[in-house]
Amino acid sequence: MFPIENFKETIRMKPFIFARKLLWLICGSLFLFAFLTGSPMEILGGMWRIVQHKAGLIADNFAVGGIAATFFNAGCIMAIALLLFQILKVNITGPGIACILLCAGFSMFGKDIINIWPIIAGVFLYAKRHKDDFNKYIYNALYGTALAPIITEIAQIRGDWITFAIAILIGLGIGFILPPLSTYCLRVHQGYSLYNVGFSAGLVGTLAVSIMRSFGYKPESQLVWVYENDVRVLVYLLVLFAGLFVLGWYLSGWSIKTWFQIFRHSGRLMSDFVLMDGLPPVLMNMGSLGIVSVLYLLAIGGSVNGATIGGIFTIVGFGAFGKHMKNVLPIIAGVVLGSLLKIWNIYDPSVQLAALFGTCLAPISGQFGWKYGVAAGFLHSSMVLSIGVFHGGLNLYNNGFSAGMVALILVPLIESIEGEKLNHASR
Amino acid sequence: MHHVKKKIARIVDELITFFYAAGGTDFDIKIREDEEQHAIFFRSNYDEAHFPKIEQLCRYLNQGRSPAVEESYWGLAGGGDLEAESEMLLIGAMIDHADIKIKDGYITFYLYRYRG
Repeated sequence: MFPIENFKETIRMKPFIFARKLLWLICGSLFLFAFLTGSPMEILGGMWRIVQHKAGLIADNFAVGGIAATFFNAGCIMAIALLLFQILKVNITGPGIACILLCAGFSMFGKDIINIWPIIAGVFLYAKRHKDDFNKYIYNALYGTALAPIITEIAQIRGDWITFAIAILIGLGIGFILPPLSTYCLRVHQGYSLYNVGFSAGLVGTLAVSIMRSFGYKPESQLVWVYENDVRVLVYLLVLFAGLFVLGWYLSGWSIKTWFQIFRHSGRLMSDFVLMDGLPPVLMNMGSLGIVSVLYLLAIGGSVNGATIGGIFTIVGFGAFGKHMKNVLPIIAGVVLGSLLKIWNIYDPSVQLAALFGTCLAPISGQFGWKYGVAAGFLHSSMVLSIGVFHGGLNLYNNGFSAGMVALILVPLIESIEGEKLNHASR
Repeated sequence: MHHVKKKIARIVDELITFFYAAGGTDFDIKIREDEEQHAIFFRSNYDEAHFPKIEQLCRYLNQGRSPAVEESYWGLAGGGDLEAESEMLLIGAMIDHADIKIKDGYITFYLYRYRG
């Protein structure tokens, strides 16, 4: 057997080995891009500003620390996530790819190399409390860092060791309560929102901020946003996503038929496309979603900055775990339709993010059809712009919080309308 | 390790729901636990028209257990729609090993879930 055939056989039989190597490669490209766009001193200074800056929504790290430091921070967080998977011996298939790329994405606006640790440690304590291995909770630990801005926020109230210690304790507490809450929240939306921890983190964030407000401290959301597009960033993203697509295409024997086969899945949790269809079509799916996301932002006059790249990386990651062109586009169309009828513009920062992150409702269009997907996107764009006030922007997955609410309201309604058609065996 | 018995019940729930959708009308279920493992015996008839879906289920049940996926998503098991492919994948992530036999219009599963 020729080495190339060995290579293809390994990808077919053990996709998690290839997925891990590929993710390390993407991680390496983040570091490489950082050092191509900034000097080590610039990166160091930018990282210091990122760590010190309030991390709540929306703080685009391009504006806070510069492009090079943003990519360096994303590379660090992605490397931490990958190392955790490797040390804990967790195979990387669809859920792993989604989780790791989401972490990298949110490192461009909110997560940094300091504020993620107390929550991860809290989940670790939860595992020990239940005499369980930590590797079972790796997804809760990494997704749970959605509330990392609370750590930064509290630590900066007085900026001394007392508030720093309180921040760590609260982070540990958040990590401790997230795993059972996330399991419970799944039952609420039945897997129709892909960012499940966003929903549970939204609830915890609302509780935490309510307590903070009752003690007289009012966290305020912010808007730190870079409006201009940097050509170097655009080239990096398009090369990366085109590379993923071409690699998948090549590994599929230059056939795109397998990519289209992914479209038959609803995408509802937990649709691990890697186990369902293999890695090669998933790579095509991820690459195509990335390219379309970038082109969408350019088409509407939006910004490809830290925050929106966070959204793009998340879409690309979930291209292995629930999202594909057929179930994502109706959601985006719903947000676009909303912007035509509602009081905001499609290129407003929050609406750009709503279109990207709102695609976590893709399983609704995947399961019930594109019309319901458009309705979900339409409703989500209203919900997400109103709901952030509850947690003061301290839950980075604000769209996941909103999407959980939308799914909770919309899915029972759809099922009551479509129920007989969908559940034919229930008769 | 907690919620162990609840998870076993959810696995069985999913199988019943799946085979109802696959035309099943005759089910045998047995659950046995010992110090090393939980074993689920499940037998059902099915409608031949649904055989491709059953083949897919067999493939998912032999994918190997994934404790991280199980712990994050087991809450979805047992409450879903009939024939939900994604939930069959989840059941596959919750069991270590599956022996499957198909004979005379009946399918028999022996599913094993090791403790620890």
